[in-house]
Amino acid sequence: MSDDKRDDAAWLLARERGQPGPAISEERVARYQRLEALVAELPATPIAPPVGLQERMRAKLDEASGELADVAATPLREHPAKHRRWVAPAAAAAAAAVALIVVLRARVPSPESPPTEPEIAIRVTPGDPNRSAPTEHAVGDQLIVEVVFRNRRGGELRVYDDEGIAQKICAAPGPGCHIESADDRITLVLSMTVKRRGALQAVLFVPALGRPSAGQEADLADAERAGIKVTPHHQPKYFH
Amino acid sequence: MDDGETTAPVAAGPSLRTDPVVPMDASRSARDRRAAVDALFTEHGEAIFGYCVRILRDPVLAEDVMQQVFLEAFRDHDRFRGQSSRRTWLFGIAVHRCLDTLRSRRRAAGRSEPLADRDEDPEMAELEAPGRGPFELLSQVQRLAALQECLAVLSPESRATVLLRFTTDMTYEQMTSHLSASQDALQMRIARAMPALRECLENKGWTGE
Repeated sequence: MSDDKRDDAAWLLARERGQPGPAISEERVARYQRLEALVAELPATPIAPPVGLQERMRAKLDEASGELADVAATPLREHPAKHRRWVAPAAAAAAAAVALIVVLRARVPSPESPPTEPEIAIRVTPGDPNRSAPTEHAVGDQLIVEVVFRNRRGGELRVYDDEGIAQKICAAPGPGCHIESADDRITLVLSMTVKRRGALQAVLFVPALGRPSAGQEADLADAERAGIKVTPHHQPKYFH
Repeated sequence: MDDGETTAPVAAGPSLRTDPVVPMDASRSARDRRAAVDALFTEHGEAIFGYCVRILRDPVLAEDVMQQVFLEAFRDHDRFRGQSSRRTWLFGIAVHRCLDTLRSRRRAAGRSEPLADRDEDPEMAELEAPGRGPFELLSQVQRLAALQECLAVLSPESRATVLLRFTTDMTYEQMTSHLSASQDALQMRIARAMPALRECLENKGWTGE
């Protein structure tokens, strides 16, 4: 991503979030406003609807409403009075059984209870302590991401840049990746030196995704398919 | 719809008399529901079809998904709680179904990347061949076709997000459940997609007017 696009992305992100962010030229702001208007002006459909589309849709709806009416019209079996005599107690017993199961499940945690919602904490250590704008983050700073969670199967932290490329993965102890575990309580600490401008976002995967990154979008999609819980940090950090 | 709503009460069944009479309430309910969804289709059908075409880039698949949207609207009609407009509700179903369809196709094809879509439908390819010349000299139809071509460069998920963000009144909170992504992720998608769209249009001669 070029510097221009990166700056634009940071400005757009801040705007979408209603937060202060880096400024871009008024000319570029106006260009994005015009682009959004162009998108909004797209016609309802890019191609003419196929011939017969409405008729086919209405035929499907006719079929569905016919089925609904059929279900509603299905008569009870013979001897409805006898049916009524036993259906109420049976239904009550079934409801009680379901209620009992719900209560028992609520009281007896499974061996691998879902962890309480983990909170990702982020710190930035300035690379140059004498910087003129100490409140801004910049290339060369140290990004430290820490999270504590409970899961016997472990987890991993990934940091993505604004192009969705993973800049750091912390899944096993090593340089820039500290892991402590006690029973099912796990502390992950990821640290990295920021090498390029732009936004960085930390995302926790529990359990670990366990494979190289294919990009943030693909990683999130894979996690969803695998039933892996994903917790992104609520606010990406921007580095100038 | 997976939106956390409680289940609506089940409609009353037939009476417990011995004669199998069709109760007026049940059949009128089916007729009323049919009429209501028919009205929704009349008002929003084209827009839903168009949205599905833009995401799926296949008119036949888009019609299939559009039918699923309105059948689901018919089935869940009584569960609509009015927390959004009907249009937003329909678009929410549409984006869900479109992305589900794409994921199924990817799985069936054994791919992890989005399907190559530009050449799959000749009608779409023809649509996206804008005229030559500076962007501003193109007709309105051709300018919109150029935009459509640039949208096609985005991933289906990003395209879906951009279209929902700028062509519907859906909030990010509403989009999260339909797009199965966090608000953060959706905002990042917009932040990345719009510079890419801008650059693509500028390469076609757009000067920002």
